[in-house]
Amino acid sequence: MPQLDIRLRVPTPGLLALPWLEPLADWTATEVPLRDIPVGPSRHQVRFVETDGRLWALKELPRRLAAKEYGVLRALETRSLPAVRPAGLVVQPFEDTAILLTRYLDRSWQYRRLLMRIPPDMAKHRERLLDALASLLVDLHRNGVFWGDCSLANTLFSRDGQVLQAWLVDAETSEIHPQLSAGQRQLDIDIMVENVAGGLLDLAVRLDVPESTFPSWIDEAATIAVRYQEIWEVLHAEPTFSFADRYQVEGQIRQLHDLGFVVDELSLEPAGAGDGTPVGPGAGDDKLRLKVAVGDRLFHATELRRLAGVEVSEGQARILMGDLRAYQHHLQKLAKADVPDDVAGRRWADEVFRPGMARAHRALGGIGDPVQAYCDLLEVRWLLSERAGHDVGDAAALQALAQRSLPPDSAAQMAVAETATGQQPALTPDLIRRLDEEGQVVADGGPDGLGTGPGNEKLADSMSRDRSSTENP
Amino acid sequence: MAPITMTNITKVYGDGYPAVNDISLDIADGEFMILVGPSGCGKSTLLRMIVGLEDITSGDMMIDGVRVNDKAPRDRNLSMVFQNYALYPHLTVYENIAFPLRLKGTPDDEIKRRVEEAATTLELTEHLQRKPAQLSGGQRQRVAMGRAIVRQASAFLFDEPLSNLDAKLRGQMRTEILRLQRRMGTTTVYVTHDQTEAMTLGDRVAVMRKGVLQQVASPRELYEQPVNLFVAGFIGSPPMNFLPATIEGGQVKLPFLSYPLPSEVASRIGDNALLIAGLRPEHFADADLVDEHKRDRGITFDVHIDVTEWLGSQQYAYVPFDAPEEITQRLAELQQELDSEHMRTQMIVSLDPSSRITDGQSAKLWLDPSRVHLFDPRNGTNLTLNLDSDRASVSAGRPAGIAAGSAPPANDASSTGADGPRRST
Repeated sequence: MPQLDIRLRVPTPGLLALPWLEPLADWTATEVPLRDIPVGPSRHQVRFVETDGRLWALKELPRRLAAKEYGVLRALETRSLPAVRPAGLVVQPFEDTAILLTRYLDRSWQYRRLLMRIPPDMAKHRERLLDALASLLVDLHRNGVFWGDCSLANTLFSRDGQVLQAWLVDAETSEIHPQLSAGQRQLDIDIMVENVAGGLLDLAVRLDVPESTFPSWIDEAATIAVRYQEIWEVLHAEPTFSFADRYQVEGQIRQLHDLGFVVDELSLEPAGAGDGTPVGPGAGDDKLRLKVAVGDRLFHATELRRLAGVEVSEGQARILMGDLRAYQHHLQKLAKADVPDDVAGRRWADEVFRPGMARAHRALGGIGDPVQAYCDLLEVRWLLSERAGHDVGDAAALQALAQRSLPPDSAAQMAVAETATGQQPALTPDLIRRLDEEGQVVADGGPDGLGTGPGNEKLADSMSRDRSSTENP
Repeated sequence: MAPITMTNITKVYGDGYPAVNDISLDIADGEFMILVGPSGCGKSTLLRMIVGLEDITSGDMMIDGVRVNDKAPRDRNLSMVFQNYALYPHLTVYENIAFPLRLKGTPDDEIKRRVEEAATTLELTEHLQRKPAQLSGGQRQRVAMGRAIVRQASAFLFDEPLSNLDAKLRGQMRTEILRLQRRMGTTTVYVTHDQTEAMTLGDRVAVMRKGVLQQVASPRELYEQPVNLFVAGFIGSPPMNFLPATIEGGQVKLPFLSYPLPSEVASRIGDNALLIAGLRPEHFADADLVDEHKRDRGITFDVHIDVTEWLGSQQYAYVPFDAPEEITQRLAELQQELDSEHMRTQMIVSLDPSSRITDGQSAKLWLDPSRVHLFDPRNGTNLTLNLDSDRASVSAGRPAGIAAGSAPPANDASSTGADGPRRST
């Protein structure tokens, strides 16, 4: 018979006071601050407790398995991988069970919450989910982690700029290896495709979509393998070119930076004959092979912290860096001189970012992450301006945010997932259409502008100028 | 369905550690093979090499006569059962089984045929239009099996499938897996650390230790004829008792009794004067309750009973004994290796529940010395292996005709071929 063994990494009074001697199923709301959080079907008892100002997830499972999962989650934490963080392991003195305690991820939600609130014809949002999941699996595989049960249901999502960040929440079947074999990766991909297909089909049935569309949902699920491969190939490409064409290195590095990856080290080696024999220079064959050691997905986040002292996630930083650069361009035009990066960074943070963030968050009723609210403001303003053919200004975008009259495919739409169940009206196609029409009115009512679409520097510049003039009259 | 043949399979990791060391094993078409051993023995690594999840350092892996060393997992046509067995609450049982086939683009009529066939095998036909929530726990597990069946794989592979189930479902599932395998006759490889699972499920069981195959045999043969101390200690619950055995003047002296050293053993022990004796708890009896016709075959002796446990259908008595330092040390190492919680310096004796032997008293026990195994403490080899014809005939009487090969010596097990699998009827 095992002894009670409580291991807590955050030994708060509330956690210590929990009735660890009782089976999790017997805990009652009168003695424990239980919270009702909808989760998908689980093979184990899962409950949520709010104590010491935090929300905790507790899962009861066989002792051996609980210890294994705890160990895997600790290893994922050490590697800074996106996964729930283990907070404790309690071996119970009966049966063969233990309770695994994890910290609930703030502002995260299950895929069902988003997809239930968005009409099924909005495939763009499903694509964002699949991109996030594929990206998570690549991150894990690069770090020698075999998941074994990658699925939408075993993942939590949080917003990260215009993309989503996926977090592993179930590591029951996971294993850590020094490096994964091709077979391990392939099996994990196959499992992911099958699980995603099952998850999407299940949702399609739940949403009562016509059966004739099922094949397209299955096809959609199958694209996740392609999404995975695309990222994997960029990270592991080893292109060869001649010494004279070494400028091509820059393109390769830019591609990695665009995906958010930091380059740890690059090396150019003689391409050789494939058998390890180097090919001598001057032999007419001076091909070089580029090898890049890719680091964490933090390129823009690191850059933004360096320039503006602002700490945000990578997806948010990517958008904010664009905003910062546009503002720098605007300042340079005003000053008719170069504005150094650090000066531009500080001024952007003080004059543009912080006030803009506060206004955007207010417009959203204080729901969700303020930084994300600002990212949404930038995106909505961009899309409305693009639609209007001119810059619509911050005011119009703020109004659109406040009224939730957002362009249908916009990432800002995903804010619907931020509100807890019960506070959120269901978004029906009718409601979307109505909100869209309102959005059009708002856009049309904006000032004349210049923009023609994303990538247009004039529009970006105009947006920055307009915002700064609002903040600094 | 396919035979799986492994020849000199080795897996060496980057640090030079051989996780699997020169394993040769033939798994016959339709056979249920168990890979068992304590954590870190290499059983899961071996399974992963069969599936294609681990690269093989050297050796040949053949499935259905084809070398698969360099084939991707999906090209090996194997099915890992329960690997991801989430059931989808809004899909019917039919769709829960069918959707992997839809993903592969299998035509509807073919899907229908395969799902209905699987449902018949699993006795799920009348539940096909239901949702998972309307099924019992066991039925849900069968739906998950259905997903594996419709793939029409050459072999089923299970990697500790019951370890993440609660105790109640575990027993139920064990029966379901056995029933399924018997019905379908599909070659099955099943990894577990639990010797009870191994003994109840397998046609044959391969016991592994530190990457090396120790013995491949039927459950019964493993139990009756363990090739070495490790297998003897691993198989059986409660475990085999290990006692110091001194050889003196043609006698084997155990802590409570002595008996003549069998001449066949005498020639095997060399200059060993100190051995380890292995005695199964059920080979003892309360001397007062032994049948007259058996009594003469054994010896009676007196012991002091420390504790008894009466469990209704069984009764155990615990008898402490002293052992010399070198034997205690050897047994402590074994205990650690086996991950066992059993104290090795007290003997467990299984008694008839009607026995009146009680705690704290001395008692007269009976033992048939021909049942005693003697092990070489230096290398663990079983010196009494295949000695008497009685025991040999017991081990040959395995259920339904899987021929176990010759028992290999410790640490050097070679594959033992199978004449033919136990088939479903």
